[in-house]
Amino acid sequence: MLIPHVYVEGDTESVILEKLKLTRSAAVRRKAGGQDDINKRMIDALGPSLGVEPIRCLLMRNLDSHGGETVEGIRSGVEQALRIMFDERGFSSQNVSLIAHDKHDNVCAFQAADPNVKVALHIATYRCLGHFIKSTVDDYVLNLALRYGTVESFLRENRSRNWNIGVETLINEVRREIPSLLQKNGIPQLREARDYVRLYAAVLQMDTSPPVFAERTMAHAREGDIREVFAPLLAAAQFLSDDPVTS
Amino acid sequence: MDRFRKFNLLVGPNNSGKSAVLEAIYLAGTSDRAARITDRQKLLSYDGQTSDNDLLGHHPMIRILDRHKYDAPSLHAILNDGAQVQFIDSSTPLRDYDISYAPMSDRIMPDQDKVLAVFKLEARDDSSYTNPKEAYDQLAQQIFGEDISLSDGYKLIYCWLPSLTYYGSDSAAWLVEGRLAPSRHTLLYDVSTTLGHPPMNFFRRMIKTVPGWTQKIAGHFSQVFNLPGKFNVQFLPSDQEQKWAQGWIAPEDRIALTVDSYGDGARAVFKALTLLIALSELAREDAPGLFIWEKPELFQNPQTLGRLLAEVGALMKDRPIQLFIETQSLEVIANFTALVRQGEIESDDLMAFRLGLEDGNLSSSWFNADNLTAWLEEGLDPRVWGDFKSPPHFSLRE
Repeated sequence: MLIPHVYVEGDTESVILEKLKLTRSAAVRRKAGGQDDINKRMIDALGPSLGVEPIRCLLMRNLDSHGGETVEGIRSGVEQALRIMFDERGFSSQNVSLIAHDKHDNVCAFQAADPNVKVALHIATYRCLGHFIKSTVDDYVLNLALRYGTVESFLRENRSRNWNIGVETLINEVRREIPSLLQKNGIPQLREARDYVRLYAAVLQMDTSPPVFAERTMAHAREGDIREVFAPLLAAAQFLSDDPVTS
Repeated sequence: MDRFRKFNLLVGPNNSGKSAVLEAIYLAGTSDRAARITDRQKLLSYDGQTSDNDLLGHHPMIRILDRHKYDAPSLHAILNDGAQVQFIDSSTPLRDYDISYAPMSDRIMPDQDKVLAVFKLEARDDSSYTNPKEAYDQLAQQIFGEDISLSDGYKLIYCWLPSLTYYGSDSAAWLVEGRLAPSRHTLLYDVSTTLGHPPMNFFRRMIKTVPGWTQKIAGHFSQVFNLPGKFNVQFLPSDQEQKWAQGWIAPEDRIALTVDSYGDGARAVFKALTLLIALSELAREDAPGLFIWEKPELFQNPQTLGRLLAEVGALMKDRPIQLFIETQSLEVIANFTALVRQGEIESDDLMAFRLGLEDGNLSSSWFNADNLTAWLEEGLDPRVWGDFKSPPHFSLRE
């Protein structure tokens, strides 16, 4: 089932979702602005359908710990927005509650039979490197891009350019040597996965746009690695699906 | 349906009840003429109201029947030279009742009370009853078939014309809450209004009532069509009996032409503005206006439509007029949403309703200005249920 309503903060999420075949690009709404703006846009869009048509909605949010955001704060904001929507439309909001997934603590979900609603919230909590100040979907992309299989595939593509660097060497270059060089020359550490993604793309002499890099990474990564890295997102999508679980 | 606002858009699939809702509002708004309903068996009488002429002087029931090309059946016997009707249909809840009524304010056609088929009942301080609240509520419950109280502010409208009811079931009743416009300030505008002419009586009334009426028409018409040069608007009889008034556009540098010579779009704009300008001048807080408009998008190029709706918004600004529109046009919805965004219409003054009709049950979902903005910016279509993939992809400009 393709998820009909998806709310994200950036373009990279759209690419990931399409590559995972979870939604169509037309269903993905990117809303710049703060948490309140995204939640308001969600209930403005979903409200008229409440009680009229089944609602299946995925929200993908970043976690800006540096900016004071918490998982609980994000969860609570979405829950409150859903309650407002229920109240406005004449439904009881008493049982509206986002419950944590039993396997992925960065995924929480709500469902009701009448009105027919399922909402899943995926919060990017993974930090690819410990010193990052926020967690975004780029952390997951970076994780995937630094997997042995993905790097091997990147390098295989560049053999025609006579690259003879090894997989482990390249990984080490990106993760340690180049950042260390920058620091030795007085340039502070890169603080977000997005910056590392741009650096990595530049090293590979690729388009440095994070969404484009995400698309290339997904194309080169092994299926097993993709499923492992994006397991929480896939779990959120599975919750929204009305199809029976087969694996 | 509730949450009606100043600007109300009814959208939805074909045969979802949009026109029926408009007609129900129109019949409620034009039930202004004093009437009394009497139970022949118990000799109990109740004050109420029945249909009176609308803004244009049309009999509402004749107007509705004409829209559907229905004949007026014989539902009741007229007694006492048309001043009293008696129900003869044994299936109607009012079969044991008579209705008597005051004469119609402006009789355009003879025997128009033979198509009397609406009665409005509301709570009254009727001194002929010890407990008027209970008495009127009992009658209302008998008609409506459910436990209701008129003291809660409801007005009960009862229509006993089977051809206007769902699958010809004998009668229909509906409740309206809030302040209704008087019938003389209520207008139903549809394609027949565009193709026809206003009555000469209406023209004479407006010339004597609305200062600068024809100049205002010219000004607003010019805004919609960006016409260069100056022109006047005049009205002349269109027929030998001088019953109908036809608008003329008289430019400064050319001969005058009838507005009907200008094409369907222009005459639709002209007639809508003519009537709305009149209504905007007549409406007062204690006698507001009700403009019911079917498909304003008919005959209109998107540019003209946008300017027309902007003029409508301007004419209604700060005026006690309520507008109900039935539309199939995404552009109408988008234009009103844009007018809110531009600050020309207050956000709280706009509401859209998507209707659905299944097995005679009406359902509706409301869209306030924020909902409409979200939907239109995301390329979603408020007019349809379910996942509909329109050939063109659209999005409201952010």
